[in-house]
Amino acid sequence: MPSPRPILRPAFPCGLSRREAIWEMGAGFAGLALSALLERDGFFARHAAGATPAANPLAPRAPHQAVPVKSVIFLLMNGAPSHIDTFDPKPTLDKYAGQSIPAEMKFINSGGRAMGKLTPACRPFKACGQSGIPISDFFPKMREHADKMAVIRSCHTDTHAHGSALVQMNTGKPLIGRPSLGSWVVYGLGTENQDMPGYVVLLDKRGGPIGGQPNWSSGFMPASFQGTLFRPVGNPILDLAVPADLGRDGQRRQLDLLAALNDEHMRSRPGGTELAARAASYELAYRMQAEAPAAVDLGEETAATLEAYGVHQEPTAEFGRNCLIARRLVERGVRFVQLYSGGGHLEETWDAHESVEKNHGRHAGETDQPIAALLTDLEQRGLLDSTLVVWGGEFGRMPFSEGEGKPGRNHNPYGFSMWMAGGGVKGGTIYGATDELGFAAVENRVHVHDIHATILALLGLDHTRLTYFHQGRDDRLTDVYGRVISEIMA
Amino acid sequence: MTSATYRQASIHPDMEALADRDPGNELLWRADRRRLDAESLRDALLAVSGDLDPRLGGPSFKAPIDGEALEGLSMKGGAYQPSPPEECRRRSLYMFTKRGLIVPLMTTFDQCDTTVPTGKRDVSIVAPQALSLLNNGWVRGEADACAGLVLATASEAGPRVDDAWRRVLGRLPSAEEKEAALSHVMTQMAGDVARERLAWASLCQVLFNTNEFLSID
Repeated sequence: MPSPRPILRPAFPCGLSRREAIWEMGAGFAGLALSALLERDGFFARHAAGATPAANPLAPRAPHQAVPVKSVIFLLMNGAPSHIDTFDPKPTLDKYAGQSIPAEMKFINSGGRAMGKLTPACRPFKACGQSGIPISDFFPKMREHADKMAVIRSCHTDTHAHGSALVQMNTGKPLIGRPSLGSWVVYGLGTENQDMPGYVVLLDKRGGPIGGQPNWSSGFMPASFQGTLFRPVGNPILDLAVPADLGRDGQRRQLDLLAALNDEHMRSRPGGTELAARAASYELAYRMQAEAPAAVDLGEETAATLEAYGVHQEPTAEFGRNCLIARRLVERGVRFVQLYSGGGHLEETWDAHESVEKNHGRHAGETDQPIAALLTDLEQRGLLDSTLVVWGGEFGRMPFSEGEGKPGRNHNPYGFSMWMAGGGVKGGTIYGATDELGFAAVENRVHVHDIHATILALLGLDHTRLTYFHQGRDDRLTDVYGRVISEIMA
Repeated sequence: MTSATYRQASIHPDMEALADRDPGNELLWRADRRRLDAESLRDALLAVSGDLDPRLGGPSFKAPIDGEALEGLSMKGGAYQPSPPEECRRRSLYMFTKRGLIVPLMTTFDQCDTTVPTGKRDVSIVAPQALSLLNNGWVRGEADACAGLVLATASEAGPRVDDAWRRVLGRLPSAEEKEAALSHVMTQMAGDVARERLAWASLCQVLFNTNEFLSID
């Protein structure tokens, strides 16, 4: 009887790593001690957690640690909102308004753009909720949920360009080719509803993020873990639509004939589990054709719900619809949902080079009500404890204006803000700080790796143990970095 | 590649007994069955439909990508211009690959990340593959082309079924398979002669979806 091996095997010549070979030799007492050492080391756990059954890579799996959170909704503010104008008030800027940024503050001037003078926030802040978290006037409705939020003000990232920064926020590194956060999550946990994709991405109508597909890619992991783009109207998934000339009945007949032919083929090929799995995937595809459009069909929602999300009014219609779909997806057991606010380039995104007031006025106008409605809706339906909501962009913006007298701000990777809410998050907290000008994160600095480690931890996954063997090492979302910010965990 | 071991089939006359002794095929008593990789699958679909352009060499071509698939780009349709249709029937070997935008049909069938060396590709089994082979416009177009060839070969249904099997699977159908196929075509036609081509395309498409077509036995 062949000995059991981990399903994802390292590509060693004999099929065993040195550790495994020693283990399997069962060297008596020494062997036992070694096993114990390896067990304590988490060696076996590493090779078991995330192991992909060949038959169904998306079958739900337990996390390393039991937690209430089951799903993530990541609200990605594409283009990078200004932290100074949203969640990180800097009264010092009022004092130094009109002055140049101190010469000691070194930075990369993204795009070689014109540099203006220090400029205060364009809208006032207000202390909100019982916790008193200051939130900008741009978000009057989100303000009501301040006590749910853990605001992280000390975020920082490694690159100042949208393409690479978006890829970094999504995959951990600014270079393409790595699996995205959602891929790691479904790799570790599978998904609850087998009739739907486990990882769904809803883009802004104006376009995708700069960089495109690598932002929801499964990288070096199997394709079954990649994000599925959902179009919010009609047939949400590529190639989902049953061809009109065949109709559902015509296709059913195709599937029945196919099953018969495959059965015959399998009979002479015993042990072909992948043959059976492929046959099964057709039945799943057939069900998905019905289930996926139902998820985006808002027909059963009440008028009150549609109004709360702003589905029938401008400018909230599109994002309102997407937030409502996100709730429906999470209700249906989808593991990871990512929504993009802003698409394409410049003013179509939060990339406020021209005028923060105009740009953020527009995009906050589109998103404030829907996001607030989403939080309320999740809470009312008892879904908030099992859903982690994350808000943020790919970097922040500079404390000085872009050019003299021009009220826009350039890119700032050195300091920006994000917030989390929902299951496992300690609401009403502020973590970390930027310097008094809002230029760079200085206190309790939080790198993108730390954000990722924390998101995984909130899902019950240990980021150091969720590994995938690739190019000779146990790679992970956080590479060799990442610190869980336990201070924002309840 | 000239060794006797490499040239084995994946089925063996003594299948049961040998499978008992060495179920994992560690000793290579037969070949491991492999699924066609993305490039081979595309080439196979073109070849059996008589559409494959075997020209060697020359510049790459940009395969067409559905509008739906281009929505993920920041510039949407503006970012990608496919080559003229007559260029796009060449082998997948000559396909132009833009690292941030890989032809969806190819990634669906596990074409790997083009930015790093990949010694071994995944072979996933997922519903989107089924969806592609059932619903994708290009795949259906090839099924239609295949049906055109089948219809031209004979005027009787029986020989046409034989021809479809021969073209796509390289063998003749068994008696049961033939009966099922004839019944399928009849039902899809629903008595409407205008649906004849559609019905035969439906049969060809089913053959494209079989494990037999998708695997190298």
